Amino acid sequence: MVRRYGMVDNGPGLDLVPMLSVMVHLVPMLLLSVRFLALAQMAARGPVISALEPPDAGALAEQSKRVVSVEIDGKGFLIGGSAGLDPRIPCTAACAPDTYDYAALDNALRSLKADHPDEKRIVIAPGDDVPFDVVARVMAEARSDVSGGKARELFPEPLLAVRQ
Amino acid sequence: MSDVRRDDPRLRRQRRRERAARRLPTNPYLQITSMTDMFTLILAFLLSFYDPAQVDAPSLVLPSVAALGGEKEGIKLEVRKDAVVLDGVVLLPLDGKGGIESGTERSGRILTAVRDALQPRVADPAPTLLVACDKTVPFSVIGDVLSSANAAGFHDYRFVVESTR
Repeated sequence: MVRRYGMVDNGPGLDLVPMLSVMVHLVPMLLLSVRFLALAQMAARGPVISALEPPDAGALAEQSKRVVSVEIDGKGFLIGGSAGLDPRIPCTAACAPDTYDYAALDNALRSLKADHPDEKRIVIAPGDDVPFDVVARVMAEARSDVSGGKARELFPEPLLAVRQ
Repeated sequence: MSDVRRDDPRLRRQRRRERAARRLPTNPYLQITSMTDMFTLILAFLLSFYDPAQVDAPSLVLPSVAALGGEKEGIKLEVRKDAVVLDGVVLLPLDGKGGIESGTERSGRILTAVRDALQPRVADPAPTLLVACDKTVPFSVIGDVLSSANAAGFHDYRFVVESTR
């Protein structure tokens, strides 16, 4: 029960109105400068460098047929792991992050998945001058294929190759 | 007659109400203490994330990709245009275009400063390394940073990106 009797008016307390006025200006200003982002994480593994003897040319050629890979350089993409595909996907114009042909890469990756249905790994080998924007987009394309509102897993375990 | 009026319960109740009304506080001020509390908390929250350096010329712009990923906690390593930063501490200044300055101490692709800073953070099992890279930084720098992390004992890492989904 609310006690109505015996309330004492202590008189005016601290005047908070100017402080509140400052905050009412500061909070919207800060909120306007804030950029809200939806973040995601893409897992990757670094390549394991071994000290074993390098394989001979025949073994390397055999390996290049088995290992699914995408090389990124200043001319476009170079696909590895499929005999039936044209390995080179050039940029649509002078190579820049937006002119790499991601649609053709997507088609090639779907075709590679059909050739290697059990494979989960893909080696991504970017050139030194390639900006991270392109690498991130290739990783996202390689992980899953979104068509018709449904996402299908392609190669969810990318390995980033760092040239020594 | 006056005794009758004094004992009238309705009059007694009315007089009691009048006395109580005279005693009620008459504070003319709006009670804004709780509102000030709330604004103080919001202000403190926003100020703790406010970085004036990111407003005009942001040195870390994440790439936007259609990626979904389960979030995991880990050690945060940022590769900005102007520096490599570990948990808010600058490990290595870059040249402002994402290039490594000449004269930086290194062994092959391994950057000594990055490796030495990461080595004490390796535990068993090694924690995940969350790498946030500016989208314009060339892969040569990221490759060097990843090689250094690899040399320190981190083999699994996760790239932080802006999701467009």
